[in-house]
Amino acid sequence: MTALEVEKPLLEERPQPSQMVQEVCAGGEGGKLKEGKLTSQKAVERVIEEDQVAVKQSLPEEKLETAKDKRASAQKKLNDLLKSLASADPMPMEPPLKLSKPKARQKKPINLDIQDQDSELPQPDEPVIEPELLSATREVAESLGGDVAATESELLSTLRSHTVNGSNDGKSSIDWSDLFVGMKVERTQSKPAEALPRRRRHHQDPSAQRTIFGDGVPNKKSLPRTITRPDPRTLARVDIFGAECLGIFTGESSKVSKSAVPASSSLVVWEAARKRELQQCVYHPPDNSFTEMIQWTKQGKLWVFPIDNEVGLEEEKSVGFHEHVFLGHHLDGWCPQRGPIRHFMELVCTGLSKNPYMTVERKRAHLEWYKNYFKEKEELLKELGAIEATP
Amino acid sequence: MRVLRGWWRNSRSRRRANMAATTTTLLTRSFINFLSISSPLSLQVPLRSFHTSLTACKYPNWKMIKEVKHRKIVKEFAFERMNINALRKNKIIPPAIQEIADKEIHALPRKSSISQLHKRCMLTSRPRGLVTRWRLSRIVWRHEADYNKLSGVQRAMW
Repeated sequence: MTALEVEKPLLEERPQPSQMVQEVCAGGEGGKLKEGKLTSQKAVERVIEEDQVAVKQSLPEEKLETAKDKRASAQKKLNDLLKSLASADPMPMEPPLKLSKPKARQKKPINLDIQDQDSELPQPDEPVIEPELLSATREVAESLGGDVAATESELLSTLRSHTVNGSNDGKSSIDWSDLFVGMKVERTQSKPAEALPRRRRHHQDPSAQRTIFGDGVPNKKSLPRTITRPDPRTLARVDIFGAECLGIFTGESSKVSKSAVPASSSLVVWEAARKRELQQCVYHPPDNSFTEMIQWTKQGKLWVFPIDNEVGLEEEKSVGFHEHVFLGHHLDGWCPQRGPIRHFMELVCTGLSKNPYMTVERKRAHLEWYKNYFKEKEELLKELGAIEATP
Repeated sequence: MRVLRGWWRNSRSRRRANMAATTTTLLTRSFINFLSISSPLSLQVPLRSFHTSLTACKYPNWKMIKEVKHRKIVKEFAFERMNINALRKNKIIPPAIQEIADKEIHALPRKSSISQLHKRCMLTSRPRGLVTRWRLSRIVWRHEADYNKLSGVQRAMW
């Protein structure tokens, strides 16, 4: 609070010198360093002249003496100041309270030319404040009273920073830095997102083994309650169009696989058993619903896509329509040529011929059943007169 | 709402049963081999015990199990019944033979008749309020439709 305490009285009680100093430092709106310096010189001259005048207005003898003394003392002080500036640490500040102060950010302009850079190197050492300014600050500090050295050093630091920054920043930089010096500013530390572990369970493989006990049932406690989604950054980049088209929805892959099966060795059962054993060894529960559906498709629970209405009726493709439609020859041999039975059987045949959903074997089985049935009832039929007794 | 709870519970338990673990004991493996050597499609490994392929584990209800058996009998006698009914339901065959056919069909088991079957919901075994095409009760049907599991079914809005 020392800086504020010092600067408040500056602003409030002693407007004139502070205004002069600020004007000096600001050097007008958007003014260059040189112009600022000129105005500052003029202002300092005015201040000095005013002080000298004020001094001279008092008793002439005493005033002259005091003026001379003051000048001498001022020069001495100047020299001291310069020495202190030349020394290593020109800021012997010892505030009673240690407060967090924001660093005065020095905006260095980006220079592409090397020559300019070389010229700019001695800049940090350069902010040389004019001796008149120095004397003015000294007098101001003395007039204020209190800790003179501290106030003076603070004023000098502000002056120095202002000269480094240039007159472009203007009052704004000083005001903000002065305002926030004493206040505690909350700083939100940026959390390194990548440093945090994405998964709470670091060991995935041993935990998988641990989940399964003698029962074979996964332990409820060890299973994660929430699904740990894989980090999209760690997942491998997949090129969708890198591989060949699978042809799942066009049915090409299934047709190709059927034709491309090579002739295996004679040990068919062995091969089947070996295959089954491999399947059993490698069996895993489905990772997701897609693998579950694949499993069901293999088991025959789900239809194979693209949906084929004639699944399970592959053999029927080899059977011609004539076998389905022309069933009259099955009646030859046993069925009478005329009568109700013939009529009935012909109706049965027409009905079966119109049925595309039945296999040929089933149709033949129907006709065969009727043949047997009527053979059993032959005597009764002969009595009734349905069948004509063969001569 | 006991029916609903049962359906949800059973469906969950069946899902768990399907999610089998990789580690199996020797006994279970031999049991699988004993069960199905010729069928390479079946891959379901029993979990913690034997007798997981019993009918009772597959269906939500004993009534449902009885209905399943009923349907099996219907399938068994379907061929015969069709033939005999064709003889009966016409005006060509002499009536004497038709009477014999009546007796024959009456002699067949009662459960072999399709008309004796009573449809049930496949998930909850509900005997009433069924949507025939999906073989589900109206409650289950509605639930599945809301979760977009029924193809082509949408909330009516006009």
